[in-house]
Amino acid sequence: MKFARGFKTHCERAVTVLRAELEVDDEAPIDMHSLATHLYIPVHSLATLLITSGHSRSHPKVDEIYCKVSALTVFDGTFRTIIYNDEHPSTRHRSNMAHELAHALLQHPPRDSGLAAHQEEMHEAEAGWMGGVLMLTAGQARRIAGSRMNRTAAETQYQLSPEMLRFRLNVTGAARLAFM
Amino acid sequence: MSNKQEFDAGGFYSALERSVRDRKVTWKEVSIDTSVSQTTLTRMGQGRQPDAASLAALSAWAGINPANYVPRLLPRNTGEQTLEKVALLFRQDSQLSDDARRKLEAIVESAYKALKVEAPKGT
Repeated sequence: MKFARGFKTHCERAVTVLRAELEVDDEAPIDMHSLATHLYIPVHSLATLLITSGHSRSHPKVDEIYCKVSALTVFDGTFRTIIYNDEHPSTRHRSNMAHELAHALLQHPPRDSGLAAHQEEMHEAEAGWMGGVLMLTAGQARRIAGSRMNRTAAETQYQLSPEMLRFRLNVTGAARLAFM
Repeated sequence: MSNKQEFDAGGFYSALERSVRDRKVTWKEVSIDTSVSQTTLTRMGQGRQPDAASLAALSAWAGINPANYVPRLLPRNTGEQTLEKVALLFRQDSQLSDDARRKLEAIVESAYKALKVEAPKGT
């Protein structure tokens, strides 16, 4: 999917501003829960909702929800609340959160707000891209490649899954610099 | 008393959102055009009030008068005055035919009467 001209650059700039606001070190990952707090977006785990609802984790319907949901945004007007699956591994959880927070930063409306299918698809693609930048900026990807850091060390330092690291190194062009 | 509590941040954001929709632009473009960060715009969607510089920039961009969102400063209308003002705006809108204007006035009047809260007796 082709993004609007300047979109990728805008994402990098917006995340640079965000990182400065959060006072995150250049070589450190963003804590997605801190970012949500920074944006005044409440975050709840499925486990918390289960306790509130009084349902059992072993109920088949609950199990189905845990299987299907990574993270989602609930709207009350323009006010967003993020619900996340607390049983996902930490790297996937960060990625899920980054995706929902990217939707928030780009102020995408809820899915059922009457947009055309291609606009919905574009919003998903944009959130996917910006979520990736929140996980690892182009600058960080280039530094990983330039310093010849091995993949495991990079995954640990930036709290990334192997798939996300590979994706970001590829799409930023950093992979061409790497000798890993 | 804090002045911040007197500003209808939600109402201002709704007006801004309408402007974004009408102009068919993205919030990314709003951020670039006004130099207001996406953090501020996102927080506004969460009901937070923008800082003065952001408020000024967004008001200028959207052509919104922020004073209209300070409830204390606004004169209170009666129901008839509200409907008259809305009807006047419809009459001034060159995109509406006479028939469309009359229909809209009837819809708004009907909805207004159904939704308005009766003032307590003696006020």
